[in-house]
Order: sequence, then structure tokens, then C-alpha cells
Amino acid sequence: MSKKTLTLMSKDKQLFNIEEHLAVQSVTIRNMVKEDGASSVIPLPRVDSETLALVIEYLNRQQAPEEDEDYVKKFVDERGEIPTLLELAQAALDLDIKKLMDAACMKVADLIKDFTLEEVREALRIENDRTPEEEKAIRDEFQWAF
Amino acid sequence: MEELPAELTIDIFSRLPAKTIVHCKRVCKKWRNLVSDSSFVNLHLSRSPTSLIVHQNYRSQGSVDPGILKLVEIEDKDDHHHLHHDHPPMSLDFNTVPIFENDVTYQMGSVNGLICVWQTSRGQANNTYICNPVTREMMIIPQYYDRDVTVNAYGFGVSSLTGEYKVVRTFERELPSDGEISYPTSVLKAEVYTLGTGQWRRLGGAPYRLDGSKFGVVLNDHCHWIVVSSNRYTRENICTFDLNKETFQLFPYPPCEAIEVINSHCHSLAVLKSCLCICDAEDFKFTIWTMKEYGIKKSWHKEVVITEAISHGVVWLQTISLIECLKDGTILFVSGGLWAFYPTSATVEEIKRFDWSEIAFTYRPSFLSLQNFESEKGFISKNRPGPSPIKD
Repeated sequence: MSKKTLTLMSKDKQLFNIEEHLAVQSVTIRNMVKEDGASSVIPLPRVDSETLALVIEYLNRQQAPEEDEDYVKKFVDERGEIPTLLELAQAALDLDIKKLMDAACMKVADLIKDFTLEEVREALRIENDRTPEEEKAIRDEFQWAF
Repeated sequence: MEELPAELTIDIFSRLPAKTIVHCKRVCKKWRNLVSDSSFVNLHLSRSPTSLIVHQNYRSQGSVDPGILKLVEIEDKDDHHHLHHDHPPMSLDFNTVPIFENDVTYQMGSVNGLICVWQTSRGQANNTYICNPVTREMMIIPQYYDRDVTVNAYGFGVSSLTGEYKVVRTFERELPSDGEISYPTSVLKAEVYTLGTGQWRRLGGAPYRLDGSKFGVVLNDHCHWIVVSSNRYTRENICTFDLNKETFQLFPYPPCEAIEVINSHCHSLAVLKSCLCICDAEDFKFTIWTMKEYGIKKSWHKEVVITEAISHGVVWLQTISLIECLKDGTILFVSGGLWAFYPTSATVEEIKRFDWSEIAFTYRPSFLSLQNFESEKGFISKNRPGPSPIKD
């Protein structure tokens, strides 16, 4: 019996094939398969093709269970750029792949832990919503480092 | 640029060191609110790594001082570790809290980022506080039922069944004398206080005199102390307090033929890698016993013996306290300073020399707010210490 294949479609309309038994590591896909057999193409409107290619590579890994932890760590380590890791984490969140999301978030946290405020804002795409006066007031309050 | 989903931001944020999170509260208003949100508080706490608090005070002749709590964060990876003694350190200075002026404080236990502090000075002030150094909140616990007593031991823990935080203390009360010396002259009692309830509850008699020099070590919903007086025939020299049932009980001790219960030995309890441990210290040597399976006497196992030969330079104090066993196997302990024992090379290294009055204990930073104990009548204050350098 040939293995069943699913097709995933990225935000930029690229198609990726993956064997169903590997794809269902994603809880989101597993639920879709359960519900309607997911015979047609599964659209992933928030995941771009580069990120989806990474996710597929991760899902296709052939690791022994005891080596899996190390593999996931190494997998995210090799993609050490914050923007890539955030895309990966977001895809893992949408697809509900817990291990991948945990590892990607952990790596981002490791990378930003010594950043300045401005760098943190930039890395995590946050707008500064404070006025300079508010900044100063908060700075005074948080003078202690604890 | 698209904003990240909140779930992702919270997840990343919860994995940062406490110091960075406090710092990052300034990033934007949203993050500031996020830090006090209960879903963040719980997620962060579930991941919060063990850190150390060093309590430092500068007691000099004729003057006393409540001391400073300094946080030492531990970077604990599978293959290496690093202790962050920052300059300036993340600290909470009790000298800036007016009620502690010219007084002495003792730390009486720590759970989920909260610390129980006992203030005492020459028999005058005698209060118990709960503080969270990270949120900089502090509250006073109401007065005890029995005040004019000699405090024996303290414990502070949380019941996993009810989520109630409890302070337990045992004390000795003099019995009225009728002029003739008759024994016993005093009686041991216990009281418990559940945070948020507003009053201590009497538990009646306490069965054993406990080693109160160290607060109760908390594991599996029980506080544990070494017993200093009991029926020597039992040889079970650990007493537990069940934080759910609120009862005291004797607890299995390492086999008595193997562990000397004699006066020249000093025993202290700790939790290493989620196992209860005993440090059996004698002159220039100490042995660490680990209870592999909680509550099973047969599972007591001699983990490691540290002798003078491998520990050149250790200040041998009777009270050696074990702090933590890190993922790479390193055991941290305190004896006149903070030390690391590396099992692979069987060597000991000094990490930090302590002043004689310094102590250290394990602590997991959390953003748990004391405002959660709403009905608390005592004051809740945000401590505002004086200026210190800002790292930006």
C-alpha cells in the first residue's frame, strides 16, 4: 500500500507534498485530516514558502526518539537568525507543533536576553508606545535592577 | 512589519531571565501589563529556573542591619553552567525599608518567588513578612497567637492541592513555675498561617524540637527539618510537616549503622534534583546522602563523599548547606562561601567568598503578586529604594 501524501500550500501559493503520517505531527493538520480526510490542498495563509520548506524538513526528520531533543535543538541552532526563528515559531504555533515552537522560542529568548531595550523592540517588532516623559517616569521607577 | 501573535511574545518573554523581564517592562505598555497577567505569571513560574539569593549584611560592633538580598541567576545548561554575579547586582536592600531600620532579618523559606522574612531584635520587634523581591512587594503577617515565646523553627510552602501558601512555626512556651523545679519546664507548640486569611491558627503541640537554624526544606507538599531531640531509639531524625493535612510526622532517615548520629556530626537537609538530601558533615569531610525514592527508607543512597584531600581551601564550617545540583552534575554548596563540586574531576572550586554573616538559599524568581492575597489586612507596599546605576 502506498503511503498517503498531503499537499500544503504556503502564503505565496507554493505547493509542498508530505507524507500524511509525518504531517500529522502537526496537531492542526491531524485535526483537519480527522475531520474531512483533507484530500485537497491544505492552505497555510500565514506561512511563507521558505519557512514552510523548513517546517517540512523538520517534519521529515528520521531521528530515533532518544536523539530527537538534540536534533530539534540543532535544527533551530542552525537557523540562528531572529527573523527566521520568529517565522518558524509562528508557523509552529499555527500548525501546533509544540517541540518546534518551544525550541524556536527558547533560541530567540537566548539571543535577545542581553539586548538593549531598543534592540528588543526591533527584534520582536514592537512599537514604542510611550512618550519621552513616560519613558523617564518609568526609568525613575525602575532604577533598581532587581 | 507585522506584529507577532501575543501567544508567541508571551512564550518568548517567559523564557527570559527575571532581570531581563523587569528591564523589558519598559519596552511598551502592553508588555508592562502582560507581566502582571496571571497567564504570564503562571507560564513564567513553570519555567523559572532555580536561582540563588545571597543574604548579605554588614553587622558591625554595636550596630545591626537588616541586610540586602542579592539575586544570583544560574545559567544551567546540559554541558555547562554560569553564575551571574552582576555588577551592580539585582538586589533588594532592606535598609531602605523603614520598618526594618536597625533591626535584624532572617529568611525563613522561599517558595514560588516569595520569601518569608522574620524580623527580630532583642525581643522587641517580632514580625513575619512575605516579600517578592521581583515585584518589590512586601506584606506583614498579623501577630501570632502566642507572642512571648522562643521560636524554634519556621517553614514556608504551598499546598499543591489547594494552592494555599502557608507559614508554619514551632515554638517553646515556658510553663508557669510553682517555685519547685519540675520537668518539663516548657512545652513545644505550633501555629500555621495561610496567606490571605488574616489570622494564625493554633495546631496544638509540636511533637519534636527541630533544628531551627535552617528553615524547613520543602518537597512534595511537606516541610522537612532535622530533629534535635526525639526518642533516640527510633533513629528517624527527620520531621515533616504536611502542608495539606497540617500534621507533623517522623520521616525515614538513612540507615543508622551507616550515618553517625553523634554530636560531632552536623546534619542539614536540602533538595537536589528533586530528591531529598542530607549533608552529613564532620571535621574536614562531608557526605551527601540522597533519597532516590521519596519516603522509601531503603532508597537512601550515599551520593558523594567530599574530603579535605579534594577540597583544598574550603572553609570548614559545621553548617554546610547544599544548594543545588546542576544539569552538568556540579553540586553547589555553602560553607563560609559559595563552592562548586565537580564530580567528573572530583574537584572543588570556590565561586565566591562570603562574609561571615552571609547566607545563601535557592530561589525561583516569579512575578506572583502579593495582591493575590486580597483579604490580607496587613500593609502591602512597593519598596522604592534609592538610586542605583541603570543598565540600559
